[in-house]
Formats: sequence, structure tokens, C-alpha cells
Amino acid sequence: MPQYKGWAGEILRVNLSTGSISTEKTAKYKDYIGGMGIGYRIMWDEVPENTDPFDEENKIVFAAGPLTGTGAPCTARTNITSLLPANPQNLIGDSHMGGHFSPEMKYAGYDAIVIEGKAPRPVWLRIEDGNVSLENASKLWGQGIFDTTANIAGMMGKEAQVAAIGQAGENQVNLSTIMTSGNHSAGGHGGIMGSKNLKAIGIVGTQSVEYAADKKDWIELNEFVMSIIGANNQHVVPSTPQPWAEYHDSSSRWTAQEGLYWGAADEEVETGICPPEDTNKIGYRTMKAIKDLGEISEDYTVRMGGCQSCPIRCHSSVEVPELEKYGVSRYVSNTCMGFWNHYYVNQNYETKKDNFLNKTLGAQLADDYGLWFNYGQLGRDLKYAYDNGILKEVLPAEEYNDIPWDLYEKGDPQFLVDLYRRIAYQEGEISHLGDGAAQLAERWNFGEDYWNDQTNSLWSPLGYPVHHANESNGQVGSLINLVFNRDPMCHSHQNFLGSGLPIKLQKEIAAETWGSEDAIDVPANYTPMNRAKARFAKWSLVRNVLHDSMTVCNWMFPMVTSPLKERNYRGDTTLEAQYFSQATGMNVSEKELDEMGRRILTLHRAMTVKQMGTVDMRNEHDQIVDWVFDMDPDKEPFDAGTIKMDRDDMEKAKTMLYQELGWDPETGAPTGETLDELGMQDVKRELANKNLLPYQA
Amino acid sequence: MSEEQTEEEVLNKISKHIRNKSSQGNIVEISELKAMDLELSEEEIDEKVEILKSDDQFNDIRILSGEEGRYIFSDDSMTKKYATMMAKVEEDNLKELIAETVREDSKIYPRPTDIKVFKKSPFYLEDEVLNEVIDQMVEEKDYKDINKVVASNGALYLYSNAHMEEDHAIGLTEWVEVIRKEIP
Amino acid sequence: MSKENEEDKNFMQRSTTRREFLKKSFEGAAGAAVSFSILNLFTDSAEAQGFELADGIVIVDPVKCTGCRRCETNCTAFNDGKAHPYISRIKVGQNYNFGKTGPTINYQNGDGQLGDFTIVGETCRQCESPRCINACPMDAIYVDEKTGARVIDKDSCVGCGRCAVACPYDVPTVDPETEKSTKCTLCEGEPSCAAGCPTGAIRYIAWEDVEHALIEREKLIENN
Repeated sequence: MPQYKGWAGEILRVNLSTGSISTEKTAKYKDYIGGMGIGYRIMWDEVPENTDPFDEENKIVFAAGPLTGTGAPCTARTNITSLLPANPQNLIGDSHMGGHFSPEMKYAGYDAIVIEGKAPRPVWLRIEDGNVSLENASKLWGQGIFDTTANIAGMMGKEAQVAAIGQAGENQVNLSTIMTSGNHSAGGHGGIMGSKNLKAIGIVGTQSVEYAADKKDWIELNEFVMSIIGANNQHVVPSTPQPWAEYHDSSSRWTAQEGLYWGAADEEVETGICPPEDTNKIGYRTMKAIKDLGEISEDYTVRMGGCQSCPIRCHSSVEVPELEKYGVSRYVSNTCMGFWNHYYVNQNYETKKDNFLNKTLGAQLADDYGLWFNYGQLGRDLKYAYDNGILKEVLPAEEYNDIPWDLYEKGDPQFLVDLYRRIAYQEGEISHLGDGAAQLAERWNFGEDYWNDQTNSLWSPLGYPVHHANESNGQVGSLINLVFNRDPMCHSHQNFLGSGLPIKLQKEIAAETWGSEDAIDVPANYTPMNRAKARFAKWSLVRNVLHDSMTVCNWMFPMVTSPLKERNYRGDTTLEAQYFSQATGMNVSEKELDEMGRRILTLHRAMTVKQMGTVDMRNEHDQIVDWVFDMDPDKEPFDAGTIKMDRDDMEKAKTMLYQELGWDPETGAPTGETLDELGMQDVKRELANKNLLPYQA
Repeated sequence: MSEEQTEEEVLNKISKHIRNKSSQGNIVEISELKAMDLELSEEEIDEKVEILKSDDQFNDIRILSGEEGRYIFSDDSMTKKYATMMAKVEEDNLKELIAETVREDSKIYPRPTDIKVFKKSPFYLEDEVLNEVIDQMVEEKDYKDINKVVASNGALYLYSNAHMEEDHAIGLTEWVEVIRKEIP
Repeated sequence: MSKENEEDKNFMQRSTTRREFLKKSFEGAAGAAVSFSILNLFTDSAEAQGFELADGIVIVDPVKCTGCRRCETNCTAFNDGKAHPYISRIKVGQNYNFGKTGPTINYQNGDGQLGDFTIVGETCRQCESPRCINACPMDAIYVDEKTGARVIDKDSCVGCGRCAVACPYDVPTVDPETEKSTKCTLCEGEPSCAAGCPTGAIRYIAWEDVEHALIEREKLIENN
């Protein structure tokens, strides 16, 4: 793409079966931006439906976008697209990781890496700018992710960035990750690399990423963002009352306050009061460890950390000497569910310290094995199976007796050492916990109560759990949780809902952004579905997909709000379009860029239709388990204090969302008209040939 | 007024002190100014404060009347809301502090109030003191709208039923204290 | 601009070899406190007049550095109008995963994100007697009038890389895209790296703060 900047211009193609390595121009994919867009376009074009994830015919795409590596804030995400082993129909999906991998890929000169085929023996992919080779991985195979990373850096140079699988991926565990830099993991695709005998990708890049903008404009835009940025999840009020702030919210991730320290740092580092205009303190605002690991973790916190280019630093890096007695390093870093997964596995702990050790030890073990937990679901599956006596039935007696259930019943961290090894190495029947919820439920014959118990937190009959669903603005979150083929990694709506501002301001801003105050309800006091909510849901999905294509962090953007009283707490939702225009030189408006997002989201939907072999997305795909409608039996939907939903109302909600997106209002499948509108005539033709376009009157 | 100090010098001295204190999160009670070495009588200080209040040059300097004193702050670095809260802390008017916080939380966000907020910065109330004050308040007529609600993990929250229904408070408390944290 | 004067010629005629002990003495040096041990870097001040001091030097505190690397792309935004960490004059990314030494068998206890989380960023020391200037065959490195920063004249530079080899801190880098060397310019007096650091880990320390100590040290040396 000689006239555009931002993009590196080349996509690396690696055929593991033949060993051939080639490049193609990114230009043909520019309407799909990058990241998820490139991933879906390639999967649509090149991987036929009825392919299984571990088949040689499956491909896996690691992609970045034009913003990646530019140094714009929060632009180091890597989007990985392939089929999903943990989805019972092997539908297409993404995994995502932060860190420093995709910027390095851009600096090496590539917008994406497409892997196909299967190597005859374990290999790793070595990329040093234009020098790309497949290396023998026989020594690396069998190692955990940490050692693999160190070994590759030892061979390539300390500056190498590495994405690797651990034993879980090698053993093709469905719930396995691809991990980079020690603590940034992409969930669900590790086994695909394993099935291809690809152990890792190591990259060293010495080139630049260029932007079209004059440097003065570029620097000014970056500085503007620094002036309106909040804390993690774009929470814009502090968690305690502070002199500079009108509002506060104890749930806010702007946790910096007097008396809160990075307690294990080598100097005294107090997070303190961080007024928004002090841009040299942005990195202290989110002291996340106390959220991830409890207040006990303050004394263990060395510092915060995270992705390249991001000022927020949402990864909690802690030093826990006790971990060494379990045979792992005392230094562990992760964030959010990366720690909470292990609370879900070992819920019977007695003390806060035990919970802390479970979370930190669990993260350390899982991050090295490369285990994924389906957003906490694996732990709940274990609990269900244990509490209902199912494990005693399905496990052979010898295996059952070999597992240290006494440790499980005490929530002893040592239990994780045993369990995670079994899952990573597929040892025994218990290791099927790593299959994914739907497959597991079928294999172990879980009853209806498994799906319909609120505490089990499942959302979809396809086996993925709640992730900012009905608890996040009722219909809006619910709709968002329907569209993908796994739990949605969508925080567009959640960020805004958690901003910390009073409802009056929230409603005003909602009206400005989605057309009406009705787009948001007072939390836990929902109202029936309306058009504005459909617009909010559509916008959230479109932005999420856009971010995964650009690549930009959906935990920070879109910046609907800001911490600035002088801006009346308004943020700026045009930032993505401004960055896209400045980076590439392709001038797009906010609306035009959103349309590109809608294109990519629609392609995702079309691929899902193709794979499922039906247009009836509403009934076959977009389904919700019963507890969501049956919980709180003494209350009605829309009563104050309940988040139960109404079935008819949700069907109406689906119709409205489909309409907003230009999908068939009846079935929720992309229409021929919309596919034409979005420039996907070839997709339309293929669907038409397969009889997979919805009937249009 | 001392011969050596002009009016402007005095006003600058006072406002500088207030601005410094505000930037550190502290409000200034007028008696504090009177205890400073300003070489002014108490009446003269009152007079200077009135000038600061009205003079455009010092339009960041704001005066707040508490129940027992007058408090001065600079809104360059401190919001009125924060200053109001600190005035109550100064006057040890814990019941009003808690009540006003709970009522505002229930009304404008809306959310129930996690009592832990009073144990941290900038309040630092002791457990015993806080629990005693709360127990007293819920019995008193003036605070009859202030009610307790407990999450499933035992955490205590307060809400004002003048602004929030009980059912809503129960649901929200559970959401904020338990459910929301489990879906990180 | 003092590119050529008698004293300079005398200095440059001396053979100056890379001093390993200097490199080691700075290894892992922490933040703002500029002590005598750091001043030992500038031992050449005892031997020669050297050059006019820079207004200050940029130093990274490895306790506060969280590895975001915004400094790198801020540096190249200001100086080069692109995002190019490889040539950034503040280098963090290369030490991010495994520290300055790179991975050892005991990497889990070494520096870096896969170790004990210490991130060591390298910056230009604006040496009083710069080895880069000494090594340059084209006299392409000179002292900026305004800031005292030792900067590269792009017109004279031929990209031979001798400055990169000579520097004990591996700061100058030949830009493969322009074939010119790059080094810290102090961004005309307001270092972009320091201005944009989200944790204030990067500080631009004015020489006035170290000047006194330098003078005292000179006295000590003279009196001995």
C-alpha cells in the first residue's frame, strides 16, 4: 500500500506442511482494516465449513492493524482468529492478547502472520525482519511457556518477543492459550498451534511504523488523549473522595489514594492523589492488585505493568515468596480473570491468604502450562461435578482416589498443582474439564440444573458463561453476549456503565451518544427494551470489533466519558477515526469507520451462518439459558432489585438489534442487501449458492 | 495593618496559604488564619476574607459556612463537594457526614453506600466509632431514612429510603459488593 | 559550537579505549540520586578539558518504570516523525523481557518482566568526554549550543556505526532506514521521554544539580 501509512504492507504466509514461506500485500484487505478483519476475511476465503479446529486444513491468523506499533495509546493488542475447539460446533472465533508481540510483528514488517498446514515435526517460527525460517523445536517441545520464551530469546536475542504454547496447547487441550511476555494470554487457540506442531513464534523487528500525519498533529492527538484518559476501563472518578473530584465510586478502578502503595517496590511508591491534569501519574491511577487479589496484596505488589504504548498499566505484578515452596517462581503477573479463574477452581479456602495464594499460584501454573478457563467456567464445572457426586460416577475409582480431594475441600493451593497438571497433560478422565462446558456437560451427562442454576453462571447453550450480560444494563449486555461464538471480550458498554458518574450525567451523555436517555437504565432497575438500547448494543459490538481490527484496547476505548469537570465529563468518541485517519492517511469520519466495523462484524455473522448451515441465528445460535429468565422467582422482570429478563422482551430486543445491524429482523442472518451495501458481494453469492440468505419479502 | 505590608501583600499571603493547603487536600478554618503571624487583628482578618470572596483576582477562593466555623478553600485544586465533606470532618459532625453521603449516593448515582468508605482516606474512622455512630443514627428521628443493608458476604451498606426502594437497595448491594467483583 | 579547537584535537588524539569498568559501574543504577559513584563515569574530566557540559541528563528509575515504552515512540515521534523503538535514544524494549543481560538459566530471578519485574532503561549520559565524538571519523557529532546535548549532524554522518560501537551504554543506533546514526538530542531542552512518562520514572536532571558535586570532586583530585 504505497500511498497509505500505518500498515506495514505485507502479510506473512507460512505453510507448515510444505515449509513454504511467502508474503502477500495487505492492500487487498484494507477494507477489513487488520486484526480481526483480516482474520475473518482469510478464514472465510480459505477455510471451508465443516473443517475441524485440529484438522490440517484449519488456519490460524495472528493479526495487527494500522495503529499497532505506532505508539498511539493502547495499541499493542494481537488478534488471533481460527476455529474454536471449545465451541461444540467448532465455530469461528478470536482470542486476543496484549503485551508487546504485535508491535514487534509490525516492526519486523508484517501486518499479519497466516499459519496453515501441519509441520511433520515440532517447529518454531523465527522472524527477524525479512529473514523468516522454520526452526527445529524438538528441544522446546514439552517445555512450559516461560522456558520456551527464555530459550528463544537466548537464540534470537534478549529483545525478541515470543508467542508460545505450553504443554496444554501441545496436547491439544481445547481450553488452552497462546501466551506472550509471561502474562498476556489469548484463550482458546493453543491447541491449534499444538495440532500443527508449531511451538512458538519469535520475532525481532528493527523497522519503523510510519504514520501519515505531520508529527506535530500526531503528538498533539496523543497529548489530547492523555488529557482526557481515565483509569482502567476508562473509569473517570477516583474510588475514594479526593480533593480534585466531584464524584467518587468504590467500584472504580481509579484506586490510587493516600496510603495505598506498591508495597513491595524497592523504594516507597505511593499511588496517592492523581489529579487528571498530572499526566506523569496516569500509571499510578489503577492500582489493580487490590481488585484482583484483595487488600492483602498491597504488600506484595512490586509494580503495575502491561502492554506496549499503554499508560494505564492494568497488570498486577506481585512477588509472593510462598510460591517457591510449590516449585514455581515467586514473581507472577496477570490481571482480572487471569487471577480470578483460580478462585473459581478452589472456592473452599478458609482464609484470605489462601485465596490469595490460590489466585497467584494458579496464575503461575496456568500461564506456564498455557491453560485457559473459559472465563472462570472451568472452576464452576468442577464444583458442579464434585458437589453433585458426578465425579465419583465418571472417574474410574483408581483415578478418583488418586486425586487429593481433601485438599480441594480445604481450598488448599496444592490442589491446583495436581489438577492443572492433569488437565494440561490430558491425564485421565478429570482432564476433560479442559474440553469446554458444552462438551463436558454432554460427556458427563450433566442435568438441566447445570444449565439453569444461576450460580453456575452459564449464558449460552453453546457453553460459554456470562461476561457483562444481563447484569450490564439488561438487554444491552444480554444482546452483546449473544453475537460471538465464545464469551464476548467486549467492554465498550461495560466501561461506560462503570464510569462512576451519577446517573443524570450518564443519561445525558447516553442521549448524546445513542440518541436517547433511554439507552441506559439505573443499575438493577431495568426497563423494557427500546430503540436506544439497540443502538447502544450495536455501537458496543461495532466498536469492539473495530478495536480488535485496528488494533486498539477495548478496555480503554471508546472514551465516552472523561474525568474533566471542565469538559462536563465528556470524552471523545471520534478518537478512533482520528487515529485511523492520522495513521493511514485515509481520512474517515467516525461514522465511516463504524461502518467498516459493521462490515467485519457482519462477516463474522456470515461465517457463523455458513458454519452452522442455517440462517436461523435467532433460535439456533442466539439463545440464553433459562435461569436468566427464571431467577428471583418472587420478582417480575423490570422490578427494582432484580436483573431477571423477560423472554418476549428479549426476542424483541434481538429483533431491534438485528434491524440496527442490517441483519434479517426475523432470523438475525445477514441479508443480501446488507452484504451488498458493505461491499461483500462475494460473500452474498456464496451464501446464496448454499441457500443461506434469509428470505426477504 | 503593619506599615510594611500593603493590602495586596496581605491578600497574596493569605490566598497563597489557602491555595497551598487546598492542593494538599486541606481546608482552612478562619481561626487558623487568626493564629498565623499576619500582624492583623481578628476583625481585620475577617475583613480581608470578605475581600478575597468578592475580588475577581481571587475568584478561586471560596468560603463555606459550617455549623461551627467558616472554612476557606481554593477551587483550583479542590471541589466544593470535597470541602463540604472536610468541613464536617473538622467539626467531627460524623452523623451529618454519613447521612449526607448516604443520601447523595442513593439519590444521584444511585447506589448504596459501602461503609468501608468512611474507614479510608480522607475520613479514617475507627471501626468502633463508625459502628457506634451508625447504630445511633438508625434509631434517630432525623436519620430515619438511613437504613442498613447487608450483602451475602456480610458487608454492611447503608441507603436512604427517601431516594431508593428497599428491594433496589438489596439488589444493588449484592451487585456492587459480590456479583460485580466476580465478573472482573 | 565547539567542533574544532585546540583542546579537542588534543583529546581526540589520545587513544581512548572502551572502559568496561565504567559500563559495569553504571549497571543497574537506580534513579534520581546522582552520587559520586555515578560521577565516576566522567573520569575523563580529570584528564582533559572535554566539552561543555550538557544542560542535564535523562535518567530512568527502574523501580518506577513499568515497561510501557511510551518513551521510545515519543522520542522517535519528536525526533524522527515515526514510531521506531529500534532507534529510540531511550532504550527499554530490548531489556523488557530479560533485563540487560538477557535470559540466563536463572532468568526467573533476573531483571525483566519474566524475572523480578525490574525494567532497566538505557539513556544517553551526555558524557563530558564522549566516546561517540571521539570515535566519529566525520566529526559529525557536536555539542548543541542551546542544550549542550551531543547531537549528530545528519549531513556529515555516513552511518559507519563507530559511535554505536564506542558508546559504553549502546545508545546510538544507525537507523537502517536512513543510514544515519541517531542519538539523544534532549529534544531541544524538553525531553519527550520524560514529559510523557506515565509514572514519572524518567527524569531530566539538570547539571546544576550535579555541577556542585563535580566541582568538589575536581578539588579532591587536585589536592591529591
